[in-house]
Amino acid sequence: MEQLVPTLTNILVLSSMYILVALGFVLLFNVAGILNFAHGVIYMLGGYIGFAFSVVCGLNQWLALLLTVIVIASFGVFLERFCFRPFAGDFNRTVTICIAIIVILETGVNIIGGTKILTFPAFVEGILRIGHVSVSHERIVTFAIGAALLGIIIWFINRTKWGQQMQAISQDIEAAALQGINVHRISAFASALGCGLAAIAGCLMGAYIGLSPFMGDFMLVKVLIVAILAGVGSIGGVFFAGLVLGAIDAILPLFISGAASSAIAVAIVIVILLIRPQGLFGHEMEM
Amino acid sequence: MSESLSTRDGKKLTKPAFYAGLMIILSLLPLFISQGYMLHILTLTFIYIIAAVSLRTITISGQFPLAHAAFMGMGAYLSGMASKWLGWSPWLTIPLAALMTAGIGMLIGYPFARLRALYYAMVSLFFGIGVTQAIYAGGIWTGGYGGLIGISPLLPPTTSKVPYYYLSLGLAMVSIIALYRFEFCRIGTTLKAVAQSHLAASSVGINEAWYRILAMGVGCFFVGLAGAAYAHYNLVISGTSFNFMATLWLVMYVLIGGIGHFAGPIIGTFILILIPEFFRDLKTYSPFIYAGTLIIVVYLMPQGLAGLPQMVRSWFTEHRKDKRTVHAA
Amino acid sequence: MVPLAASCGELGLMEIKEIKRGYNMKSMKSSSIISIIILVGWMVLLPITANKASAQSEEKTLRIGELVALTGFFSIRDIPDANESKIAADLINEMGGITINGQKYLIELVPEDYKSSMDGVAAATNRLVYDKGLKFIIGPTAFFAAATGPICDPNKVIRIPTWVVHSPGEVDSSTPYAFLGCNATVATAIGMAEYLKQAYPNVKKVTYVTIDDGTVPHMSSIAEKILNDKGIIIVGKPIVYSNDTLDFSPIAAKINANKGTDAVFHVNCVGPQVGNIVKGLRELGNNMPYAACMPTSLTEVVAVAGKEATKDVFVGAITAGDPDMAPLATEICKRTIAQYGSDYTLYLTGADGLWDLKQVMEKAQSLDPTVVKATWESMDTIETIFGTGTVCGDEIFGIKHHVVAHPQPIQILKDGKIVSGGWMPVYIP
Repeated sequence: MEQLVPTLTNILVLSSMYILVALGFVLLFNVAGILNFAHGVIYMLGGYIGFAFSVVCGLNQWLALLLTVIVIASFGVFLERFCFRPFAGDFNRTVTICIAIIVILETGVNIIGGTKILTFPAFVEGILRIGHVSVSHERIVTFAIGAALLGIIIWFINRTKWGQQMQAISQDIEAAALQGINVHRISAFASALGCGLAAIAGCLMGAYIGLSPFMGDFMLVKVLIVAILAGVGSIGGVFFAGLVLGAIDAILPLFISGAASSAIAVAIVIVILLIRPQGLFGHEMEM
Repeated sequence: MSESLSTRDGKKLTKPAFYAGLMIILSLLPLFISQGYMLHILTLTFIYIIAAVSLRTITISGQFPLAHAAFMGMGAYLSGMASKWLGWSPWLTIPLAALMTAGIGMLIGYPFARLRALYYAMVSLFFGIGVTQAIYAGGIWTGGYGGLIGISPLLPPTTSKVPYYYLSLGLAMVSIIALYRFEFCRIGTTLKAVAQSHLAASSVGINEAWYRILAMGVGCFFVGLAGAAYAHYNLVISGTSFNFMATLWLVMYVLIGGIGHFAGPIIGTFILILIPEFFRDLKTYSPFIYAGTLIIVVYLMPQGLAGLPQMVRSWFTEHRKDKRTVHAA
Repeated sequence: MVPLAASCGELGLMEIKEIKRGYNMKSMKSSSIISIIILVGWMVLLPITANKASAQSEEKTLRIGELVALTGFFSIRDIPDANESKIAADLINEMGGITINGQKYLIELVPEDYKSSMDGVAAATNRLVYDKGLKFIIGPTAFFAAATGPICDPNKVIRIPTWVVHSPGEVDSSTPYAFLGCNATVATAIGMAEYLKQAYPNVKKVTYVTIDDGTVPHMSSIAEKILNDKGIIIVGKPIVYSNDTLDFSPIAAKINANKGTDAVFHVNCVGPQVGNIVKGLRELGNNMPYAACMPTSLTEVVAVAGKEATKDVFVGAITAGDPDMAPLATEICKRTIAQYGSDYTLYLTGADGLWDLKQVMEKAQSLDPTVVKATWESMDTIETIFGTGTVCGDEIFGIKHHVVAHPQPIQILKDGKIVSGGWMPVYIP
């Protein structure tokens, strides 16, 4: 019973971590149809560039975060224009270019910053203790930012003009173009937004669990699971998918040791997907 | 019409010539290369060629599974564990492991077949990850993260690399011939038709799901064979050789070589294994060479390396056509 | 045609288009020619370029192979160690190299990248043994060493891994030519248990934590024996976490829920993992002493968890500037810091093995691996860079006299500063 509250806290924090990182990926995939396998390394790059701004340049963490988002978002625009747009619709070549990006960024960051353990400086210090419950402020901030960003993105998609244009594109790209929507501009914006979200996640996770040139590899798998569980075409589904995966990852290690818990977590995800092939909230795909 | 007739003849002539030439070169190679290291790399290359070609065989049925390295691992571990814990001879465990891998592939293929394109790829990816984690969780039986050691070797102990080279070459030749015949026989062409249009196929009474499961079985048999051969050559296997990244390597071999050509995976495997070896002395910078290769091929050669001759030829014919139109005008 | 093509999914689209255009029929002729040209070209060029430095050890240079992870996730562990090995090799050469039968040999290290993968180890080992004809190899690290066995043992090549986590195939009865030249998991655990007993005499029960890396069935019973010998018992089941754990809060919660223990004993770990667990534990209000049996400095733990949380955490690392450190190790550390900075991780495991090899070679007065092997197995004590050590480990490793153990350094956080906690004697049964 005493385990219950820490476990619930863990579920919330883990879920917010996954949602935060997966949001950018899902956005880009829904709007531009791009399966950005390089999302993991962009997340990692965000963490390292944030580190460069905050520790090497000595700036305040929040300012460093803002600058990192700007840098990575611009990188996202570059990626969309030169790496994703030429291969639009061609899954095979998109995967190939993503793998090339992964290898280049991982090797590059490993050569430059890989010889020491680095962490992004903590955003907030201190531990909150209420009765039996104790949670570090850092985890609360991570959760809060994740939830806030999710809400903002959902509001943006549904209420603003650009958001609705994104929805239009994700439903039928040709009809949207016929309506006069500038598909390229919206795609570039979606890419910038997606990469910017990844950068925020990278900095927050860099502060919480530390940086590593290969942290993107682990995260990519979690992101893919969340994205597919949510289902294609659904942003709101990311919330529930993140919760499901967070719950699995927070609860299973308590009962099952070691790698077996990872194996069973994956098995649970596969079973869910076999029962509901289009994900929890995805559109039905035509047979 | 006439084009298809001549290409059928052309196919009959050039394919055997290509492979015969290749086989002669590769069979005589150990006479010229005395370095065991290069023979080791080539031995592994042949094994990966089997895996890459079998992956392509599955894709002609319209599915793109992202778990191929995991099936290779299944073949490797099943054979390795059987030979170590049960004491059976590798000559027995290797084909058995290949059959079991094919069986598991078909068993998985059945429920996965209801998933469409992207979901199929992703769920097979998760399945591959699950298999890797299951290998890590295997405790003493699989050796966990540290790997399985003490696997019985296929041939009596020897310090020469040459016997395994010929064994691997032979296995690759047999597998390639088998997969080739499968693809171009009646079942294979039916598979391609099913992939093109299940509406048309089912209207003729073809059971789509059956064919996809069959493709999965055939592909998994050969990749399991490759994995088992790998296990009994290396004598030490680890789950890290069969993880998600390893699957992506195999996918790259197929895509870079050209998924539309049967020889594509063969060329892709050679190029993507041998180029990094060529630049091995760049040490920490050698992964950039690999990435560079990917970028060159993906931007400049949409059909992959195997499509290069066609690209070159069509560039020439277009050039000549322009000249002619100028004259006509 | 378009709707039919669209209905079969984007993934196979490219291939379908090509079948329709008949590419794979027409292009086979030219592609066959081009492929043959490419292949022949590769086959001719590769031996020429790869055949660069295969000259065997000349009169005055002894070439020793080095298996290092220069790329991949293990590079952060191996690259500093390899740099320190280079410094040690230079130091040995300055001191006159290795003298065999009156002939001086200068050491030349030949590094080869094993790319943080088992396949990479096999390829790199093949290159060192078959292409470069080397007879002695330093490295690789931990469970990767298992992949060197099938290649080194038949060819009678001696290898000295730079760490042994106690996975099968590293240094045990199946590896006649593998020797452990440094304090690895077992020795560190023994030293740490001794420090735990001395510095925290009230601790009698511990929680055992380890990573799921294939060593759990082997190492757990050994660790239990080590602790029992010091009068400490393990309470509860071992807490094992998966290699790809991102958030360690559930692990910290599990440790916290393991009632009745006074300390945590963590075997086979790396800095960030310990840092995250410690952070989680302190957050839950649990301030138990934490023994992390790893050679990496507390700076890594502090980087993740902060100084306040790292109180009462101690590791088996070398502290730079430690006045009690033996002169050779001190000199290597001094040069490392001068070249790479004061916060460079000091492993010295490769340097350790290199020095041990020199000792054994000079005692054997031979460069023949079989003779060196026999000599090593006949020695009871050996001079290491950390002082006099013993050649032991018969029972735990299952092979006679293949393991070197020397005094184990302890590193603690005292008054906000990272200092040495002393040197614990180690003997491995």
